[in-house]
Amino acid sequence: MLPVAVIAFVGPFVSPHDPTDLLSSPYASPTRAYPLGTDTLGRDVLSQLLCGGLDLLLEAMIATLLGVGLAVILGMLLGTSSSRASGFALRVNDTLLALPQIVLALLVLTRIGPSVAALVLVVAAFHVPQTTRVIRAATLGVAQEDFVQSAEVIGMSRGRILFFEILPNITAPVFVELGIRLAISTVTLASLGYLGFTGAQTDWGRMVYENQGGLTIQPWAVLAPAAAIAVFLIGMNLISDGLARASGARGT
Amino acid sequence: MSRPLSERQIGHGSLVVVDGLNIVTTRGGLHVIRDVSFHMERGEVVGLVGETGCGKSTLGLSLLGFVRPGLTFATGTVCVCEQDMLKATSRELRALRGSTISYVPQDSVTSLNPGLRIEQQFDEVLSVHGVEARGERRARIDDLLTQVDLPTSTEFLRRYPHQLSGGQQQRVAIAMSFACKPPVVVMDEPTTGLDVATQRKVLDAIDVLRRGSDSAVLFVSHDLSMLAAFADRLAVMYAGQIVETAASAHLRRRARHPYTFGLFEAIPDPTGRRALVGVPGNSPTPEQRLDGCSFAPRCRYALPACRDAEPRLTSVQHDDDPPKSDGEASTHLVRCLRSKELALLPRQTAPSRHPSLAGEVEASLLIADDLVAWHGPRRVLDHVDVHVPAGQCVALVGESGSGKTTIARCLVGLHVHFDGEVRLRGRRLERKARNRPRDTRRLLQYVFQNPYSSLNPRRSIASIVAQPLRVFFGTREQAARHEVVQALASVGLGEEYLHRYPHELSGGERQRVALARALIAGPSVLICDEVTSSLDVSVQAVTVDLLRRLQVDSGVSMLFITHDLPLVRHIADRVMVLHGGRLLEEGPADQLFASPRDPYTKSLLTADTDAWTAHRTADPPPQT
Repeated sequence: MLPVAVIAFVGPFVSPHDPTDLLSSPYASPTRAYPLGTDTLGRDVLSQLLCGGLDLLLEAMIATLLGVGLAVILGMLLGTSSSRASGFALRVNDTLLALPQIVLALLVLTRIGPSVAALVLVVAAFHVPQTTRVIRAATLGVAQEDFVQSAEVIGMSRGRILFFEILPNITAPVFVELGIRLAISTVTLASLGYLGFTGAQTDWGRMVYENQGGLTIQPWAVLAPAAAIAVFLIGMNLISDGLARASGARGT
Repeated sequence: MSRPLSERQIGHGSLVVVDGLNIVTTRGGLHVIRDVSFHMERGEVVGLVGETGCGKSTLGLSLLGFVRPGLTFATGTVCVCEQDMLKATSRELRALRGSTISYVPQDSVTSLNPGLRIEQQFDEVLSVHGVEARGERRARIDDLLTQVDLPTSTEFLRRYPHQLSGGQQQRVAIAMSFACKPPVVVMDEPTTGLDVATQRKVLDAIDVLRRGSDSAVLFVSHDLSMLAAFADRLAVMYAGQIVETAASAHLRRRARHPYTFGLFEAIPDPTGRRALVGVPGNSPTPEQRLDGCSFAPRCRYALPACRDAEPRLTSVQHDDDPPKSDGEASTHLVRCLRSKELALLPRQTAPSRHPSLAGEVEASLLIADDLVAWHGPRRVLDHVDVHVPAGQCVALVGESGSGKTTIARCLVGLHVHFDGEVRLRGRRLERKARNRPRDTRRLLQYVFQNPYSSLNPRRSIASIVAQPLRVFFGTREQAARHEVVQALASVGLGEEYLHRYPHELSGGERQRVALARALIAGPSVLICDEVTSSLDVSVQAVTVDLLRRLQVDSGVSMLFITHDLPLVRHIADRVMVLHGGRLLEEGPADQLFASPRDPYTKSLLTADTDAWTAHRTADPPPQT
């Protein structure tokens, strides 16, 4: 996890070559000058690996924060309200859950073009229905507790109850969601990159896509970015589990 | 006169022999059970009594050769029917459990498999222990169910646990534990959480079953008054040790250990002749246990010597004892340095308080008129009137399901599905708390039943208590410090609590914090919903005393909701009795206790344990 993050964030500054320069023949095997060989257009794989993570991870993080943030607010509102409007919102949410999301994402991206902003927003929106469900369930449990009712009896405002009484008690599921959603964001963005929808010149998903034709000749061009994504995901999951345990253990 | 325990020939040939048992935590090696020795004879009911966290459940489970994860047997032996339970392999233990020794957990809702029908649950136990023939199994099930006074129809046997009431589930669980006629049965709080009438049925069932199979029963409970009537012998546990053990009748009259008679004094007296006296302080957790007598910090008779050396469990005899016919059974053991002198000291018998303010109903501060409330389509309150006069304490008494909590929730604006009118100082109140004016919300404060749920686990005590100030007066937490300290002091908590979090506090301390949070708003009416029901009896007595003092000092009116009629005697000026959503009887406390009119009220008043004892001796259950 940490090495991957270091590669992603520090990589662009130490990269030996410009990742877009055509330096050598396509699919050259690793040499001293190009430790991981070159890709389908003769670009340096190491430089691409070093530069391709930053955009991907930044986009994933922003998309995750946006998506989970919105879902936490929605989930807490739906979890504490029994009005007709909230019932309707819940049904709409369930309907969205039933639709194949990657297809929707592709549809939207095809219509408006794969700009960075569009990608981030689409991936963020991608998270909202499921995370809303999870947060709503967590909120329901906390909202029944007497301390929430006690706050209601003295007439504390709804926003303060949500923010000061309920939110601190659902941090464990929120952290778990953040971890899972960051992983899913990364995979989704990489997949979209693989399918050609990417805002960046270089990213790990696109590398896999571009170089898959040369997998047998120059496997590093595919394996390196794939491994980076995989290590990042596993690390992310371990960290989010740890956070959830730490925040859950304190209160009980 | 007194001999050290090791010299005594403890329980040779007894059914259960526990000797020098120590159970420690795997991490840190803290003693959860310290040097416990006792024995049980065939057909005997031994009551193991103690408060939360004293290790009584751990000790009960150790008889089955089981400890919770995180604990481990350190030294000592546990022998059941001459079998060393601590040395048995897991295969041997499996064979012993259920047939030689069985266990009834506290919560029957979780102990019965929700996916199996009643008949299947029984079949499982019986077939595991070798009753193969179907007809034989059915006959045995019928026999067991008859003994616990449950129907034996096929329809009943085909029900799932959730289709049974709590009392029925508990009786099924108990009948199952006797299915293989085990010589020893361990019961962990089998009657806790049941109302008085159900509790009596369950006790009857246990009594019939144990006579039927001549089993010895280890009955673990925190309810001393019930156990003193039900068990043959009592063992009182404190901080992982047995501090006193004697025959029940004997212990009731001459408890020697200060903790034991503290417990007896903390039991509400239905006749109200005696003041409710609590034991100050809290039981120590395993980390807090010190050298010397573990009860010394809470003991009003403690000497400096008590804090130096741990007293041993020694036998005491009374000069006026009749000659013993059966030496072992009447043994009285006490773990106290001063046991001999204390028997001679006059017991503190303060008279019960009774200022009895004769209140007039027309001066009522809080009035609910003609309350009819629904839970969905079900009507839970049926035209109930509530009057809380200024400066008085009105008790609302009823069993679970009688609608008493619903009344409270209507009054404070948490339950909105009701008809009728709620008035505070003559002003009509909106149904929903949020729609009521700020001042009204401030004057009417509610203390919740469960202190484990009513405090936000993520906020410090200072922040919790300051909360109403912020809502009602916009005071910031820092500015509120002085008032928070005062409010905490009024409930007997010091400044050191300000920065603690709820999980660091005991149940009694939490309830005090909840009380401080209600009082800091400056209410004129305080609604206390079963505020003592989740507390240990010694802490309950202290809390009720505190409430009464606060009420007298501050002149706040109180609506005290409880299922415990004897407790009411110690606090209420007026009493309302609620049953099935209807108000059965209402009147000044003295009058109602002296001459209850309604038969239901009478039954509540006689539902105490003396009545149970009388019932048990007068009408011995048929031998089966």
